[in-house]
Amino acid sequence: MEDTPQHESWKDWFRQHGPKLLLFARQATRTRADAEDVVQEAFVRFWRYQRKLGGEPLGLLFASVRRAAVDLARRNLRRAQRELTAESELAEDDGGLFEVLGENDDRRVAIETAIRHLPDKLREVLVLKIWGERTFEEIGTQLGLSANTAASRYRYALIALRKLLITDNCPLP
Amino acid sequence: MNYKLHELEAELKRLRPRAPSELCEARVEAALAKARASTRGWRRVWRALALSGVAAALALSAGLVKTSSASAALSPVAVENEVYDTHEDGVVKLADGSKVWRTRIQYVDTMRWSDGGRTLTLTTPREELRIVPLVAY
Repeated sequence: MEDTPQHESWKDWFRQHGPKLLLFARQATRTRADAEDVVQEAFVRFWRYQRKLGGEPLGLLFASVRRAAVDLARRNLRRAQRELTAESELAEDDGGLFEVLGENDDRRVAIETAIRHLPDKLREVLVLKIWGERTFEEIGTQLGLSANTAASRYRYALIALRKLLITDNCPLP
Repeated sequence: MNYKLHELEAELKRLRPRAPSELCEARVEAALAKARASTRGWRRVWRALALSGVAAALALSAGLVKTSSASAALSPVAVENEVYDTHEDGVVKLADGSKVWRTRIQYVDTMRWSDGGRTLTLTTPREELRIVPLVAY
């Protein structure tokens, strides 16, 4: 992973890594708007304070997104207890996780649906590995797991995903 | 992993996550601009205070020379510390590799001397760094 030189524009960085951060944030938030709030908070904190720390910047950002998502979930829980139902929040969820595929978009929708049905701990590893482009060692460090456990969860995630896609009889690519 | 899983993995990799909205990017831009403006504003205050401190110090030294010869020396009558601003730097890494939470507290120290009739005030900026070691982060 590249370092973040001081002269580099935050916009270049945000545009390059924003999509994977947003996807990761969406695994731990109910709506796209919540996920964007989380990404914004984590990115601003990273760009202002953390990028000068050295080390692996994207790892810091993923950790920051995860922490911001947990904080937001706690706040939302309190808010939900006061005024909202889970159904109304789910209804707010807008837009897909991935860019629309031109000719075979049914398959994308099916994959997104299947990913949403994965257990949290498998989904998190899958997203970090495939779209976050993290190694199992990095995922393990980030989630407090061994690299072997991260690799196992990744494999279980793929098996479960495949099973869900076959069960739902969704169109093949 | 078997062939089917590799195939699925390759298919997943072809999917491109959606980018954050333009509104999200605009909000990041606004937050970073606000942070920069705040830093610049403090720097201007800091510079002005430093200049006034130097001027006051020069005046003080000149005054002391005069008053010592006139035997009516200025004597300190007040010292004040005012917290001007606090700023959370967040997690920073020290030279030894340890991570700490750093807070900057910016003060304006004011010292006042008087010889009964005349008063000399010296105002100087001061920054205090507080660091709290992080055991696990």
